[in-house]
Amino acid sequence: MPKQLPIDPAEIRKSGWITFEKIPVNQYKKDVADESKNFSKKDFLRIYRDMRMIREFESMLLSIKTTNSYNGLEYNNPGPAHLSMGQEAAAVGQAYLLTPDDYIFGSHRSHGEILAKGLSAINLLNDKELLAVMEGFLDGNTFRVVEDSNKGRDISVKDLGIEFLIYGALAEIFAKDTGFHRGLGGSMHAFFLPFGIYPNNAIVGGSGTISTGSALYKKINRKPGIVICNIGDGSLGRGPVWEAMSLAAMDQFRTLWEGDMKGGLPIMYNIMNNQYAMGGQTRGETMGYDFAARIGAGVNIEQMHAERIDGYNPLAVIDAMKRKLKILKDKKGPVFLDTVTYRYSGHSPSDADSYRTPEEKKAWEEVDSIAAFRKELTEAKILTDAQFDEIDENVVATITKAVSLAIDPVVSPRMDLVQNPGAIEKLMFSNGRIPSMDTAKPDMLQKREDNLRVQQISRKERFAFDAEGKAVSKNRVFQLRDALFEAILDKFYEDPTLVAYGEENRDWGGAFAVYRGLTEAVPYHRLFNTPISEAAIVGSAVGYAMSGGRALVELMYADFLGCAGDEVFNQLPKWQAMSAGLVKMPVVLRVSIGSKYGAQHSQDWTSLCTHIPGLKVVFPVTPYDAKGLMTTALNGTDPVVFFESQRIYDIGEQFHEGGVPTESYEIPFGEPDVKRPGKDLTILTIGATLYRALEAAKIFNEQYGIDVEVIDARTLVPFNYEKVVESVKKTGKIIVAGDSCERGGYLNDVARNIGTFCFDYLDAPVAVVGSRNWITPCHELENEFFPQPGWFIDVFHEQIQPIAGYVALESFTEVELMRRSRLGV
Amino acid sequence: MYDLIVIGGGPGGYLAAQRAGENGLNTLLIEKNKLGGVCLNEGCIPSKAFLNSAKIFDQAKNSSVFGVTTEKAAIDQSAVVSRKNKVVKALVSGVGAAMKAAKVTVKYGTGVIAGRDADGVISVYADEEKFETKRLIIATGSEIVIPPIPGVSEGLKDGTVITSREILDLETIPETMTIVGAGVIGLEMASYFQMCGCKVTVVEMLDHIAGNIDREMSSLLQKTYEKRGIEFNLNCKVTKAGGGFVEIDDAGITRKIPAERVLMSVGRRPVIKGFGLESIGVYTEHGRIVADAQGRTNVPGVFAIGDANGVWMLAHAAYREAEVAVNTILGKKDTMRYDAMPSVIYTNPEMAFVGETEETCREKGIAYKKRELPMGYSGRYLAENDVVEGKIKVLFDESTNRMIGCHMVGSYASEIILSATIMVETQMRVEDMKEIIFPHPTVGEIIREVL
Repeated sequence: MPKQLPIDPAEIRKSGWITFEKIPVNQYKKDVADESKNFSKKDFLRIYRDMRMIREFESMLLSIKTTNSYNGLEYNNPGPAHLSMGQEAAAVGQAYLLTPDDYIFGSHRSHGEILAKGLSAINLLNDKELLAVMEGFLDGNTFRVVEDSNKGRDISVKDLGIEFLIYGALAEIFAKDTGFHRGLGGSMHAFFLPFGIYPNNAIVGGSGTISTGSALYKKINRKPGIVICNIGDGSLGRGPVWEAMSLAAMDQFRTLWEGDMKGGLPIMYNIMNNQYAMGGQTRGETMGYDFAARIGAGVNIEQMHAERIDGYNPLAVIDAMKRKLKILKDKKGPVFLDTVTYRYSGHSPSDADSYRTPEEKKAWEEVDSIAAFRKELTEAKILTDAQFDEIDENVVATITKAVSLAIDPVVSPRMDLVQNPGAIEKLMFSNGRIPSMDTAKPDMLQKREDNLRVQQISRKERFAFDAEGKAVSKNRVFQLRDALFEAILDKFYEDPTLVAYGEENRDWGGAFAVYRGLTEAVPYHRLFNTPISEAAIVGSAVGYAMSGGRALVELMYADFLGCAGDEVFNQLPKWQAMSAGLVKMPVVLRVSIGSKYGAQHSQDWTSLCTHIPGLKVVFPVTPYDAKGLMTTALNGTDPVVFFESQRIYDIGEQFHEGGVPTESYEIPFGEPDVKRPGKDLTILTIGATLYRALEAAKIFNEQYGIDVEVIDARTLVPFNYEKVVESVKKTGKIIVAGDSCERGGYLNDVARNIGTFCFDYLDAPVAVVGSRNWITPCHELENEFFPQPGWFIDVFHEQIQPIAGYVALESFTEVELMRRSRLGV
Repeated sequence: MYDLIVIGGGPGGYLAAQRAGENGLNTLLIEKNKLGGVCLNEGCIPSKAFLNSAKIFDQAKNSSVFGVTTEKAAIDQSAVVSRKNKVVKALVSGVGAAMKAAKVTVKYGTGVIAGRDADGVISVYADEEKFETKRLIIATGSEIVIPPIPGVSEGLKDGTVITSREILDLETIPETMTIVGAGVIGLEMASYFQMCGCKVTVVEMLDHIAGNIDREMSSLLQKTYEKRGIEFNLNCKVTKAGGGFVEIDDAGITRKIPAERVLMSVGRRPVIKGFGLESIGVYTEHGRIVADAQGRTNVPGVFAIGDANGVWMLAHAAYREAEVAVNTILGKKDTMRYDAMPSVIYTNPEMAFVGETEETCREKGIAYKKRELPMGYSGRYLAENDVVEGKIKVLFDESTNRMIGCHMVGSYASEIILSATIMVETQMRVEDMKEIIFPHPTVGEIIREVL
């Protein structure tokens, strides 16, 4: 939609052909003799050692999974183990040239990648740096185990580093408190940030979007290094991976981003192509691409510099990495690598290999990367068998030692949730307050006071009623959308890492005009439009925050949360605790609840979010609350799903005395707010239902003499019940209401809790008023679907206290509720 | 527009209308036949008139043990029927007078519901005439179930098969009668016709009589009847009926029982069809209108009471449900409870009970204590009865020491059960009951004795 990119019909309708460049397939043709001028003997030996280390590590896990023992050590590991024997050359070759500034993200089968990257980092770091990393990590708890086991021994810092890496990863896999993230991630989520090893992901392709966000962070914040997304060939069937690549390949990086921001994203999508997507065979069966590398040609003009390489030859991988790293550093990313490899083990130890023949496996084992590498080097007389044998011995000894330490319950205890019941609880949220995530000067295009919208807002009335109590007109009143704008604009001027993006954030100003005026103030690289890729929008925000930035992303309609299901439910909320607090997640996800737009554009999905541990959920419905809660959200370090309602973007502040302050202020999460005091009945509302509850309160008061106290929840997670309990102690009666479908909703949680907390004070059970368990019908029928003012009187009459002379219109009788439940409607 | 429309003028409906009227609600009662419903016209009341005649006849026949000589004691069935009709007429007109006093408008005609508009206004027709209201009490009662047994429909036409309706107008006592269904109606009629000299045979599909009453008491009742000459065929299925006999399947063996008349009394079912219930979407389930403890259906303002909701198909259940519904309409909190629902079988001897049985206690896992005594422990009972066949059994909740059930067989049981009902309903403890003074000598003293 940018005006600087006109769409010319003559150009668009012109006849012609789309041409493609050839995509190289296994074009590396050198042998070790050719390479011996590029690699020293030590280099070759290190490559061999790293591959052997991975092979032994994975073989050890297989042995423990299948026989409960390894090298005479007994242990039962009930957790998952997706092993990568066969894929070592691909991992080691990739890591060989990377530095700790380069980040890798992985999959459920990434032990090898972690070890390879870790060994590479250990090789690069000097002793002082390495010691500092180890000693500083998780208060030195992991390092202490390794250090103590070497008391009295003369061991180099590098060897200590290797023991630390193997032990820390293994202890994590065995769910030990001394593991890399205290056993809370485990096999499928192991990582180690100081070495540039970013989270692996149990969701196939889950790293696609997250790694893209990490690359965005590096680019936008001018951080060194590149990002590699290691995902399997199976993940190429996943929409979010496609979305991530689309986001990474956006033309605007070159056409619209300016200055040093111009240029491609420093990311490589490396497909660890082991030929299988669990039990499905990607080539020939479940996909149609023939070569995974072909996909690059569909993403951008550069074909993502796609190439198939031989992942069975570490030197071929190193060669490719060298070329691709240059492309990335030249700002010509993204890059797509199709790294051919093969896994000998099953998908997991329970896999019976029923989908492949022993002959096929044998054929791959015959060209095994480790054996072939060693053979080539000995045959070329560069290295001797004795040299390799010594490495083999050391590797087995290192792994054996790590196992003996990791399985020892005294040396490597589990997190003790009996002695320390709050251990996980306190990791669910970081609850930090970091107004600015970096010290750099925020890139902005104009002074705040020069912004047109800022100037317009300064002329608006910040309270909905004038001195005589008369309502100020919509045009003159400071609206809820202005309140959000103010909080967000303030943060843009404060936190240089803050980025805001979504589907129509720039130029359009957001579908609901919250961002109108931001385009003029904020440069492209901090405020941009993305493809219609909800999964990539949220997933990249996760990666952006994980890498150190703050992201404000927007999904327009709450209904679209479903398109970003994994990202909102598995990624955004979980990484803080899964990382044992090592990762922070300052992401604010704006979602707007529609109105008048039918079944797929009007749903209140707050309950879906409150159900997920690790998300904070807020839903302000007044300008004062919107500005205060947005400011709190943007100052915090936790993921916040920020719900807004399209019914009330234009509403003025009717409650806060003095109107909405011009300066920045915070409203603490979790505190409901009494919007109307009363003594006979409490109504607790979530979201824009507040205004219908207030209308109901008026009817209650004027027609039935019932004085209603209306409380606005404002925040759903966290939530402090104190004010509500106090109110119920006074009134003895409560209705909880919101616009989400009633069944399985957060309203029922609240009702249950109030029932528990206030049982002795309640004159009747807590009444719940939600939307019907239907599709949201067209606007003309919405009054039968969303809670209406009359429904409050109806439910009061039917469930709390019959009102003499009153007949309900909407049914809340027991029989009706049971009937609906029986029918599931 | 009426404040309330009641469809059905039986015990539930007329009492609801009366209470509503008394409380100032502009009330319309629609009745398609006669006020008083089945209870007054063809159920409880007429059968009680019958049974009293038979009891007098029975006493007269057996009066010699009491030192009274009667000669030529005979039952004049047509006189019994005409007296019954007089009683019914008096009571029905009494209900009419009560409606008038309560300012209830009564319309005779078939009430048909015709929809509910956006403002919650419900249209109801009484024949052609249209009425409107926002509140509706459905008290349409129940109807006799006629099972599809071969011969029955022909028998109903030629009069060899009858129902509880026709039986109350029988002008002669048949020689033989077979009663299909040993429920309350069947047993009361068995008792009546047996006392009147008819050879009565009862056929029941279950292995016991009188439905869900305490099993020990039902077998006591059965034994007493058998002694008096009623024949019971339990676990038997009727395969054919009418034309002078009943054919039954008795454990695979077909038997033929002579029956000048066959009474079909297998049960009653709620009336839920044919009056527009579906036009306002009232929820029904298993052939009954589902109502909650306030009588509320799923439709706002619409209540279902009495037999129509199928909970307890008893007139006195309907009375109480009517009051609960009207109180709810009036904004008074009220709740229907069924824990202390008394039941009476007005046979000779009478049987009455309230609350839990031993069977329901076991089903619900209630730990209970049982106390029982022969009715002969009451001096008056002994003084007035020749054969001491009665018994009382009382169940107490072991943990609370409250009475939770009381079961009696014997004369006056129908009147005494009220005391027990009060004790169960008010959750009285044994200690409290012991402080009550019982008049002496009365049969009711048996409760004090059994504590």
